Amino acid sequence: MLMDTAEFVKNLKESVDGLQDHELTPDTVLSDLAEWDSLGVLSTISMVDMEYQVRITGAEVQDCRTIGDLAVLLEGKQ
Amino acid sequence: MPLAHFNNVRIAGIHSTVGSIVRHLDEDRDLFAGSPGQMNRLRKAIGLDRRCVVDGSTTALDLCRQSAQGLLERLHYRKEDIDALIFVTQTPDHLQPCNACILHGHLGMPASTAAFDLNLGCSGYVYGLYVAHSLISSGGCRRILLLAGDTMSRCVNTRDRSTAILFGDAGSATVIEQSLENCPSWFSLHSNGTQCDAIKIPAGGFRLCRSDSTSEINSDADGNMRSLDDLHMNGAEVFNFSIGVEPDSIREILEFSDHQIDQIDSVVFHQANKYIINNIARRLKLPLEKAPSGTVGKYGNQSSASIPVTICDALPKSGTKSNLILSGFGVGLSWATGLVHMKDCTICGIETFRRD
Repeated sequence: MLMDTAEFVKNLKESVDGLQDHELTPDTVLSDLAEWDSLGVLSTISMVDMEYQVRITGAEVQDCRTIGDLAVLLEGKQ
Repeated sequence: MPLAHFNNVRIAGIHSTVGSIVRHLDEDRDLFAGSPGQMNRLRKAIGLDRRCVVDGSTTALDLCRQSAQGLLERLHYRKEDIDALIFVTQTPDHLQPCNACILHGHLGMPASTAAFDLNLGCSGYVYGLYVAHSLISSGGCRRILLLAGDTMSRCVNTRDRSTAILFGDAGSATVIEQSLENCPSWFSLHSNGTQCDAIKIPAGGFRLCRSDSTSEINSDADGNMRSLDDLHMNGAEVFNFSIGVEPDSIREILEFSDHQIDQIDSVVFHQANKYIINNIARRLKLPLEKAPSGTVGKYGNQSSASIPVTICDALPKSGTKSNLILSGFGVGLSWATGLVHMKDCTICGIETFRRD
């Protein structure tokens, strides 16, 4: 089943502290976001575990360049 | 899988001692010079605020000795009444002899008292309780003094954001004894050695002795500075491990002991940080008021001492709180959970370390 990317972006925005005020799209580069740090990685791991019942590692998250890459990572594990 | 049930063993008293130097997160602001917002997000989400640490000459043994003396005095127990000393620590005074033997000498215990260390960290307090319950249940001991303490602030590089701001130092003493009345408890122990590198001090043992080359400081991809002599922690992997094993460990002990979660007054987790505890609680649908998580913001992550300190800090000193789940998880990787009945336990307050 293809993932709802818009919903993923919304979930990410709600779960990572500081991203609420940003306009996010699948093309947003994570390292361009000042709030994307080690806590952002943890929040993403937690959200993906809770909302999608998928376990991703810190290294996998850090290999992602854009929000779209995160969605692809998640989709590959579903 | 070491699941065990005991009937006639009780926890008689708990005492805790924290380091005397209070260190505020703001004092570490230079670490976040490039990102002041990160410090504020850590304060809000992880729950960091202040820590109690020791100076460079105070050890876990010193902190635990103060608690041991305070607890024995409070319970009016003589040193001759103690059949065994068990010391849980990963920051001992020496490679040899073990802390328990040194403390045995300091306290003037008789030759009939057994003394040994358990080399475990965040899971160690519950492992220690299990071993103490087993020794008493077997008939070999009637009363045991369990010490659990660490000075992890002395293991980190002060320029490593992943560890430098996290740890506090503390010691504790717990008396476990034979109970004439029925006093049931249940325990489980677990390990996953394949993840042993997730929390590690690489040098200093005999596999890699300390040397000039191990003390060389390097920068990682995030700009954190550390040497092989310093603590390394992979925060994301430890987080994944914690939310992966802990909810199952709590469910396992509830099933094994035939309890429902609403029969439990408090679940005292190792105080890794507020974010991890809240995440575990959410997965268990456990009300946050039943899972204290404020210790790390007052004292820091205290490794093996965090569960006894949290019992002393967050639970009433007497009365209603009786059914507790205690659960430690961390270095090893290792985790352990106990369901204990603590109605008549003497819970002492938290003392600040005093140098004699």
